[in-house]
Parts: sequence; C-alpha cells; structure tokens
Amino acid sequence: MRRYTVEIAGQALEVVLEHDRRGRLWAEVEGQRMVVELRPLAGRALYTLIWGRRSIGLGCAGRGSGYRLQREGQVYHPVKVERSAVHALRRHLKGRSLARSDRLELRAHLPGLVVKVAGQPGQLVRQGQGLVIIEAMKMENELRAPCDCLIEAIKVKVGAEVKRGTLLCILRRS
Amino acid sequence: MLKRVLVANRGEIALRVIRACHELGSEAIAVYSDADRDGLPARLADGAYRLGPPPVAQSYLRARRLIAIARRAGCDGLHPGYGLLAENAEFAAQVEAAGLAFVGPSPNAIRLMGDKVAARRLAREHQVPTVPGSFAPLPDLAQARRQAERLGYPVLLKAAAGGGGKGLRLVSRPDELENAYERAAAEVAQGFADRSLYLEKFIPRAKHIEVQVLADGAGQVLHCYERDCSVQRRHQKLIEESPAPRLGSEKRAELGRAALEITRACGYRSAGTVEFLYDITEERYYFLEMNTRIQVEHPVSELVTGIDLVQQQLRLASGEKLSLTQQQLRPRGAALECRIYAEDAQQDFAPSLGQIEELILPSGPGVRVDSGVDRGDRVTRYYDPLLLKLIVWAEDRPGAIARMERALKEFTLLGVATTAEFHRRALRAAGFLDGSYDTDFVASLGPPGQLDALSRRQLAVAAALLREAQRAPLAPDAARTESAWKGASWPDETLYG
Repeated sequence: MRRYTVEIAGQALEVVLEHDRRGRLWAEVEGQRMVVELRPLAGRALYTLIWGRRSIGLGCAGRGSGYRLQREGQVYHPVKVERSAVHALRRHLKGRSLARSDRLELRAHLPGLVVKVAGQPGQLVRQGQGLVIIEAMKMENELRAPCDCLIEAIKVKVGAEVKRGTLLCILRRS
Repeated sequence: MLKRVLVANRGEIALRVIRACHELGSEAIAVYSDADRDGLPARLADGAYRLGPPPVAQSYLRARRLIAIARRAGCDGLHPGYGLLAENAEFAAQVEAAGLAFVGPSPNAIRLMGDKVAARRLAREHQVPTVPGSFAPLPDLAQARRQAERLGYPVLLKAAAGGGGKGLRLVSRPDELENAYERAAAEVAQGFADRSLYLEKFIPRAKHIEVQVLADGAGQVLHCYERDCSVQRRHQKLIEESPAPRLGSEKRAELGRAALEITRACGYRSAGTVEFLYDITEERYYFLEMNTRIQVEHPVSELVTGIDLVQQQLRLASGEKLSLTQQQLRPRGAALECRIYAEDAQQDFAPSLGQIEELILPSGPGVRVDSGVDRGDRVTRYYDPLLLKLIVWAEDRPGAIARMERALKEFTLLGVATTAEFHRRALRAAGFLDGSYDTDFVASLGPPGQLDALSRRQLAVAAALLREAQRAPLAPDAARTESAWKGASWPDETLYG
C-alpha cells in the first residue's frame, strides 16, 4: 500500500494505492474506491487512465514536482505528487524553518544506517555528486547533491542510525 | 501561373501558402531563420534558404536578402504572408523592380491604405461612413484638444501608420489627453516612419466586423461576405466567425457594398479586408481601415464561400482575371476559427515559451487545422505566439460551436500554455452563444470554473500512478501478476467504449 498526496487546483488529495489478491490495483481517493490502471502510449506523453469501466485519455508532461496534465483539451498545472509521509514532513518543516531559498537541506528519504559520508564542510560539490550513503534493507542508497553547492555542515557520522527525514547535510547553492 | 514562389514568411501562414502553391502546380521555396531550420515550412517546401539568426530584423525582415534568394532560386513570384513585410509598400516595389510578381496589391494601394488618415478621407469621398474624427494628421496638442472637445470624450488617439491595435490609446477625460499625446508621439517617433497621429470618437458597445474582398485590378471586384472578429485581447483577435451573428441581411448587404466601394476606390488587386466598427446600440457601421494582405482569419471566409483565397491571390498575381461573379458567391453554413496562441489566458495572455512535448491535432468532419508547429518544436520569444488555428464549418452556427467544442476536446498540446482553455470557456459563455458579444467580451469573461469532484479524483489518481510508475513496482511480483487490464472482470471492449 502506498499513500500519495496530490496537489491539484489548490487542493490536496490523499490517494491510496493497493493491489488486491487478484493483482488488481485499487485506488482510494476522497472515500471513493476504484480499480485503476494507467496505460502509457509508447513513445508519447499520452496515457489512458482506466477508472472502473471508464477509460480516460490523458496527456502528461513534467515530473512529480509539477506535472502538467491535460484532459479533454484542458491543462492542469502544476499537479504536485508526493508520498504522503514526505508531504506531511515537508509541511511540518515549512511551519518551523525559515530556510532561505539558497539554503538546502539534505534529509534521509528512508530509515537506515549511514555507511558513508563523502565530503567535508566548506567543500564545493557538483550536481549529482554522491554525499551520503544510507544502507536500508541491505541496499545502499546514495544521496546526491541536488545542484552545484557548498557543504555548509554535515550533521551525521558513519554508523549513525537515521530515521526518514533526519537532517544529513546543510548545503548552500553556489 | 507562377512557376516558383518564394514564401517570405514563417509558421502557419508559410505552410498555408506552400500548400496553395502545390495545389496550383507551382513550386514553393521557403526561407527560415536559425530558430526555424527544422520547422514545417522548410520541410514541406521544394527548397529552403537560410535568412540569418532568429531575430526578425536579422532574418524575416531582410528585404534585400529575400529578393536575392528569390532570384537565386529562380522564383517568379513572392508571397509575403501577413505581418513582417506584407504591408510594406517599399518592399512590394522592390520585389516588382526585381522582376518578380508580388502576391498582393500594388505598392500604391498598400501605401494609400497604410496611411489610415488618407484611407479615412478616401472613404469619406466615396460616401462610406467613417468614425467621427480627424481627416488630417494632428499638427499639435492644441489641435488635438480642440478636436477631442468637439468629438466629446472618450476618444481614441491613433497612429496614422498604425493598425492592428498598434499605437492606439483610449483617452477618457480631458486631463488625460496631454499625457496620452506625448506618449503616443514618442511611440510613433520610435516605431513608425510616418509619425502622424489622429483622433477618433470612441464607440462603446461595438463589434469588429470586416469584409473579405477580392479584386483583379481590371474592374472585377467581389466580396466574400463578413467576419465577426470582436473576440479580442489587446486589440488582437482570438475568435472569428462568418457569417456575423445578429447582423440583418440588409446591413450585411450594405457592408458588402461599402467594402466594394473602398476596394474600387484604391484600385485594388488581390485579396484584402475592409474593416468596420459596428455600433451595436445605434446599429450603424463605420469604416475603420483596410488590410492589404491575406489575414490570419481568412479560412472562415473560405469555408463559407468555398473560395480558396490564397490560390486566388496567386492566380491574380500571375495576371489572371477573376472568373467568378458576385452571384456565384453564395455563403453556406457557418464557420468559426479559434486561434491557438502560446499564451496563458490566466496570466493576462502572457506569452508562454518552451518546447511542444506533445501535440494531437483534431480532425474529422468539418474540422480544418492550419498549423505551423509540430511536436518537438520550440516556442521562442522571437516571433508572434500564434501556433495554429482550429477552424470548423457546419450547417449552422450552433452546429459550428458544437463542432469546435468537440475539436478543442480532441486537441492536446503539452509543453507550453495555450489559449485552448480560454476558447472552451468562451464558447460556453452566454454572450458568445447568443452572438451579442462585443469587443469587451474577453474582459467580461469570468475565471475558469471549478474542477468537478470526479475529474479531480481521476486526475489525482493519474498523477499518483505516474509517480508510482517512476518508482519501484508496488507489488514485488507485479511483473508476474496478471495486469488489472488483462485479468479484469469486465470485457475488454467496454474499456474504450
């Protein structure tokens, strides 16, 4: 089961996705439960949403931080999607921090063990450069620099147990 | 017939001209700026030549280079399209001096009608009503003040070399005149060769109605009836239709006669448009100006009359005479055009730049699409944001509106904001449906309606599924599980039903 929070036309909706024993995918949104499927059209930004017995043609471009969805000629933009836990955390943090726009926080996106920290405070790193590796479920997950930036502070050490959302590094956009 | 025509334009109108050339058995040579190198016109033409970097001053406005290319390519004619150099009398004269047929009117006719004050005088001499106002350029502010007081406020301050809303100012009260005059004078000093200004009385509650004309310069003059182009923003048209709704047959005939009068008076040849302001309250029409070129909205007249106006332009430029008569031109049904601009209607029609990531053009009965763009094209800041036009024809006006709604429903364009959503709202507005709309229609149209609950849920689920698809599969055995689609408990055929 996965929970997503979708922001569309100024409203936040929680969508729960879950497979049943027969392998069908169910979506629950605003109290409505429906068998759903999203079929992509190969090579195009076009999809068919199967909604129970209905099929709905959709166009889609962009990413989860701001999809551009088009249905029946009408464009909805931006449609933002986040895992509900991430969404809740972000809202929580937004209420507390006065983070400036060039200040970036690298946070754990899953609980686990820090197995590697690359870099030191004061170091400049390139976009995509690996900063922290968290081991979870016997998998190494590398967290990378979201942009070219300066490492301002490192808040974790190798061997530390982190929860989802734990602050790992503070970065400054350069 | 012309053998090879240089298409001195870009976008949808370049494609429109190329198509007409091909249908007449002529070759079409395209030109392109670096931004348009891979565009549709260059791909569909029989040859394509580079003009220069993207800015129009370094590409599509390079008159000498265009003529040099036409000669090098062995062209015997040049079609200017609309905008750019289309109404530049000097350019037309240079084209003719180079031994090429200019697909449009004579340089003299362009010059005469390009001077909006001279055109008003011409209309008056031929007993065609003009909006009360100046018949000579304003010499100074004092004269402007005297005239404005005589006309009564509000007044419109216009540039003699303007047109299409350029250099136009509304002056509501006497104390606004001085400032408006100074600013308009500064604007024309920068943008136009002719710096004259003139005044017209402002008419509230007016429609913009224009008459399409065709003339062969040898005495035969025809009109292809009218178009209502009142749905405008910033004096630029968004929706056009023919016939004009709520226009009686008597007024329609009067407008046609007036348009022919003007066309004859300026010794016109080729396709042209005579624009009128129609005072809804007084039920009176006034001559505004004549556009000496093919217009963006020409397809609606083509659909109701069955005449191919661009082919006619090319025939007339090659020296053919009009073989049609006014009696043969019987309008049939109703046609509607929606202009799809790369603009965000919810941000005051601000241009929207980017790449066209997805494009599905509507088709089917009665639908015509004149598009200048393709999937993957970039919308840049260098050019007019018109991407394409959706045009429909049906037996009657309600049928045309329903067909346009259907076409807009099929239309998909992703990557930049477009006016498609605006059109969907406009077509449902009471003022549009009953045909009573005037030039203030766009401002009076409310914001988009709320998203209904079901659509909101469906779109939210689609977004969640899109995000899901970018992650690891939800069920560990998803690859081996029968998909919901195939293992479904309903028959497949209902899915697309």
